[in-house]
Amino acid sequence: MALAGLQNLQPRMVLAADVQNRHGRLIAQKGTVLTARLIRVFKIWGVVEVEVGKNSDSREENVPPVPADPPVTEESAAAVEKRFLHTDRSHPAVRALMEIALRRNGGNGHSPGPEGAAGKTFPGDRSRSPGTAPDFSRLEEKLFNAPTADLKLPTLPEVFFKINDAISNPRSSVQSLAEIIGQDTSLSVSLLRIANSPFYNFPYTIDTLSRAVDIIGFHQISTLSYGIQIVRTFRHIRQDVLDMKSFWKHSLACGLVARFLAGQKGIQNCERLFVAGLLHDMGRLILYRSAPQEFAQVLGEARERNALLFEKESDMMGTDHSRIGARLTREWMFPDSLVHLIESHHGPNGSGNPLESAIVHIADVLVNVAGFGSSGEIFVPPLNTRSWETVDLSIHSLPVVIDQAEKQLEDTIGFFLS
Amino acid sequence: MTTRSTGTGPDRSLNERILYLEELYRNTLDALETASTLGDFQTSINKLQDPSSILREASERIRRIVPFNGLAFYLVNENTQDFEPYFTEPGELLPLVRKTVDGFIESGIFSWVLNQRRSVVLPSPDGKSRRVLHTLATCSRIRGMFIGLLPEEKSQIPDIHKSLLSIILLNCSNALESFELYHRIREIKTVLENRESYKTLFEAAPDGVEVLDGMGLVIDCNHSQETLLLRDRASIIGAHTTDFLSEPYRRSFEKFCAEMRKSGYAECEAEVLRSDGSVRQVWRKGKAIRDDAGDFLGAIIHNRDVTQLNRMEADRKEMELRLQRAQKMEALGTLAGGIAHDLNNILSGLVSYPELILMQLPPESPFRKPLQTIQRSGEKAAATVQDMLTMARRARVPSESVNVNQVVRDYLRSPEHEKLLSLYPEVQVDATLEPDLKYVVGAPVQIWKIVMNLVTNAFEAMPRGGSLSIVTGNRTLGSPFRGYEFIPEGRYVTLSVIDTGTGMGHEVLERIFEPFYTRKAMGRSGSGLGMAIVWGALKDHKGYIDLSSVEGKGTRFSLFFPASSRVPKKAGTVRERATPTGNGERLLVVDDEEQQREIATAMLSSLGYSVSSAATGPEAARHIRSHPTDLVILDMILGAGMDGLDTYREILQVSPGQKAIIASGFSESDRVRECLRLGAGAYLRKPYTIDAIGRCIRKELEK
Repeated sequence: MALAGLQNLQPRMVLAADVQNRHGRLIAQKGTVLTARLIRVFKIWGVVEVEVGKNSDSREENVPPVPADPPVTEESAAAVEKRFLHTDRSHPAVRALMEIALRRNGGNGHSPGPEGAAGKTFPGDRSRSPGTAPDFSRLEEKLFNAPTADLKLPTLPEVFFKINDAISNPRSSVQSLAEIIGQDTSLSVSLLRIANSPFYNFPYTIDTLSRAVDIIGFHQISTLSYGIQIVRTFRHIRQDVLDMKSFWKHSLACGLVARFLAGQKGIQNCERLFVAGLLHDMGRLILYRSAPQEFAQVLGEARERNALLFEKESDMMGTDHSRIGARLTREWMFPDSLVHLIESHHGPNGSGNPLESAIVHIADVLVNVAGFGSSGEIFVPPLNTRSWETVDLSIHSLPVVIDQAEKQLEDTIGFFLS
Repeated sequence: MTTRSTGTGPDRSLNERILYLEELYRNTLDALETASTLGDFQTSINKLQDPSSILREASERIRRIVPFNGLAFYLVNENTQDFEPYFTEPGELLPLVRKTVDGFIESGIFSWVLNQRRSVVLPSPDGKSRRVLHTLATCSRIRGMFIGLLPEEKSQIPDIHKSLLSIILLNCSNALESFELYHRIREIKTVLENRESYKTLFEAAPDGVEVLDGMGLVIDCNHSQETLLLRDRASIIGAHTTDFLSEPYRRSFEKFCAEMRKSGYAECEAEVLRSDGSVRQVWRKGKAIRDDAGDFLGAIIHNRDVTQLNRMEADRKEMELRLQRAQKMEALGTLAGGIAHDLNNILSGLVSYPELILMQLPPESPFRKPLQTIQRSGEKAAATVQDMLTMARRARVPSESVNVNQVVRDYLRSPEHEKLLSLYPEVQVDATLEPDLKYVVGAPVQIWKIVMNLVTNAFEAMPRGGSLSIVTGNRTLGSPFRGYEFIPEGRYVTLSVIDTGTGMGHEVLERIFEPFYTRKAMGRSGSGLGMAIVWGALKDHKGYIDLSSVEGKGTRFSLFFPASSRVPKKAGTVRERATPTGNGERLLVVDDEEQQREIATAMLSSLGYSVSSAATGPEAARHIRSHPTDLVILDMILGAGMDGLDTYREILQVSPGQKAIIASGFSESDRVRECLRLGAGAYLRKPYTIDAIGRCIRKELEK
C-alpha cells in the first residue's frame, strides 16, 4: 500500500482504498483496477494522489505513524480555561473548540494565548499624569470629522475609486478593469503575484492582468484589490502598543478561513469574504493609528479586568472597532456588502446576509482559538449560536479547517504582507 | 463604458455625474429585467425522456446574452464519474470541443474550474480567441460543465452578462436534477410494477416452480408447487428439494445437479411425495442461475405433473397391444373360419348318412358298430369345426339367461370330466359356488366349453397331481381393473379356475389365447384351439378375463361375465329327448348343393314328411306357386344371384305368410335376421342332426 501521485499512476495498478473528491463524491471504489479512462477521471475531479497496492488489508507498515498529541499539562489546561472565560461551555461546538485549543497549545510550556498580546507595556498606562488624560467623549466624531493631523484618516489612492466605479457599472468588462488596475503598477504586480500563488493554485502561469481577471473573475479581482490597498495603506504604523505582524497574521488568517468556509458553502465571490475577514478588525487599526492614547487606555482596562476587549471599547468609548471600521469603509465607498460584514462580525444577528456574516464571525472565533496572531483580544470571543447553526459546520470538520488555514497561512503570508 | 472626466474622489462635475448615474441606472434595470426572464424552464420536466430539451432551452437563452460561436454541455456519467459531451451546438464543432476539453483535463484546468462556481475565461492555445468554462452544479451536486467558444474578435463581454450566465446555468442544473429525480421515480415505479408482474407470472405458472440455492435448499416456490406437493409454502421453503422426492429419485438428484452445473440445464423424470402419502410422477427441468462472474448461485426447477400423461400413455400402449392381439386373432379366425365353412358342408355327409343308415339297420347288424364309430368321428369332426367357428366368432350370438353354477355342475358330471379324473388321479377338485349367483346372458353350451377347456388345461398342468378349485361369485367393480386386460367398472359374475400346477411364464401368458399356440406335444390332446375357444366364447359373452401365473406354483384364471338381472323363464339343461316326427306335411328343401338336398330329403322323409327340393331361388318360387307347401327349409347361399333372403321375399310374394326355417352353414348374419324378421321361424346351423332339424320343424309347424 502506498500513496502515489497522479503523475505516477499507470493502468493496471489496483486501488487500495476508496477515492473521493474534496466534497465527498465517490470517484472510484477500493479494489478497482486503474485504466487510462479512470486516470483521466481523477484528473477531472482534481484527485491528486491515491492509495495503490496489491492487497487491501490495513497493514500499517508504510503509513507514517500519526504523531501523538503532546500531553496536556495542568498549566496549559488552566491557561485554556482562562481564555475560554467568556464562552458558553455548554455548547458542544465550544467544547470541541476547547479541545482543539488544548491540543494545540498544551504542553509546550509557553504561556498560551494569542501571540504578542501578552506582556506588552502600554504607553497609555494609568501611571500617566492627569493632564494628558485621554478624552473618550465624542471620539467617533473626532475621528471622522476633525481635520487635525493627529486624527487624520488615511486617504486611498485614486485607482481605488476607479475600481469602485467599474464595479458598479453593469457594462464594465474585463478589459476596462484590467486597464484601470494596470494604471497602478504596484497593485498590478501584487495582484499577479497573488494570482500565480498557492492562493489560487492555478495550473498555468497567469501573465497578464486581463487574463487574471478572466480566470479569477472580475469581482474577485476587484475585491482583492481593496484588500491589498488597505493593507498597504496601513502598513506603516508604529509597533509599540500593538504587534502589527501579529495583527496582520490574525487578520489574514481570518480572511483565509472565511474564504474557505465560503467555498464550502458554494458562495460565488469568496474573495468578498476573504477581504471581509482581512479587514474585520480594521477599526482597531484606525484607533491605534489615530487615537493611540485612548486605545492604550482601553486595552489596559480590559487586561486588568479580564474583560473582552470589544466590550470594553463599547463601554469606554461608546463605540467599538467594528462600528468604526464600518464607518470608515462606508466613507471610502466600499461595496455595502463588505461594509456590512465588517460591521457585524461580532454580533451577526439582524444581519442582511446572515450566512456571510456568520462565516466571518465563526472565522474570527476559530482563528482566536487556534492562536493565529492577535488583534489585541486575549479571550476567545463568545460564539453566536445562531451563526453556528447558519454555517452548519460539523464539529469534526473544525480541526480540519484550522489545519488547512494554518497551511495556507504559511503559503500566502509572504504575498500579502511583504 | 462611457468616458468621463477624471478627477479625484469627491471632485466631479455634478452634471456629468448625474448623466453617468442615469446611464448606470438604465443599464442596471436592463440587466435586472433580463435576469428576471431567466426563470423556470418551459418544458414540462416529468414528460422528458432525456435531458436534451433542457440543454437546448438553456443554450437558446445563453445565446441571447452572449454571442458564443458554439457551446457545449458535458454531463457527469454517474456510473463512471467521467464527463461526457451531451449537447453541442452547432454539432460540427464537437471534435473541436472534445479536443479543447481534453486539453483542459490534461492540464488540470478542468478540475480547477470544477471548484469554482463561476465563469472562467481562458485563452485558446493560439491566443486568438477565448473559451468560457462554467461548472454546472446545484448546491448539492456537480452535474456537468458548460463550454462556450467566443468568436475571434476581441469583443468584450460585460461582466453583468457573466452573472446572467451563472443564473441560467444554475437554473439548468436544477432542471437537470429534477429530471433525474423524475426519471428515478419512474424507474422505481417500473421496477415495482415489473416486480408485481413477475410475481404474478411466477405464481400463475401452471408447473410447480422451485428456486434452489447452491446447496439444493428451496428458497422460494410458487402456488402450483404447493398444489403439487399438497404442502404449504412455509413447509417447503428451507427444506432440501430431495426431501419431497420418492426414495429412488433422491439419489439421482446428484447427477441432475452435476449436469446443471456443467451445461447449465438438465431434465429428468422423478416422483414427488405428497403430504397425504400419495405420489405424482413429474418431469423436472432445471436451469442453473449464475452471477455476473459465472459462479453457480442456484437453480430454477420446473416440475411438470405427468401422472395423467403417463397413465394415458400406458393405456394407449395397452390398447395397442390388445388391438394387435385382436387383429391377430381375427386373422387367424378368418383363416380358420374359411376352412371351417368348407369343411362344414363336407362333414354333413359324415354326420348325416351314418345316422340314416343306422336307422335302417337291424340292431344285431355287424355294420352297426363301425357305423357308430364313423358317426362319432363325424360328430367329433363337426364339433371341432364348430369350435373353430366359435373361435372365429362366426357362431351364433347367444342370448339365454344362464346360471353359471348349473353349467359348472353339468360339466363336473359329464363324461369328459370323468375321463380327465381317470387320467389324472392325483388331482383334487373342489368347487365353491356362490349360492346367490346372478344370471349371465349367453349360451350354456359356450360356457360349458369354456369350463371344459380351462379345467382340461389345469389338469394338464398338474401331471404329478395337485389341487384344482372352481369358484364362482358376484363381483362389482367400482373402478376399472387393470390386470391381464382392462376391465371396466360394472357388475360381474366371476368364474375362477385355480390350479397348483407348473404355471406359465410371461411369454406364454402373452400368447396363450392364440389359436393353434400350444406347448403340448403334437397329437397328445387338443388342437391348440382350447384357449382360443375360451377367448372367443368369452368375448361373445362380452366378458373379460384376468389371469396370473407363477412358474412352479400355479395359475389362476378369472373370468368376468357381465351380470344380468334377468331371470330365465325356465331352467334348462342340455338334455336329450326323443326326436319328434312328421305327419306327411309338405316340405320344400332349397339348397344349391345336390348332396345337401339328398341328405335333407332322406332325413326328413325318414321322419315322416313329404319332401320336395329346389336348387335355386327362382325354382323354389315356381314350386311354391304351383304346390302349396307347409314349410320351406331354406339355405342362405343359393347361387344364381338370389340368396336366401331374396328367395324368401319372392316366396312371400307368391305365398304370403309362408312358414320357413333357415338352415345354413354360416353364422347368423343381417340377412338371416332379416329373414327371421320377415317371418322365418328359426335358424338352424348346418350340419344339423336329425334331432335338431326334427325339433325345429315340429316347433315351427306347430306355431
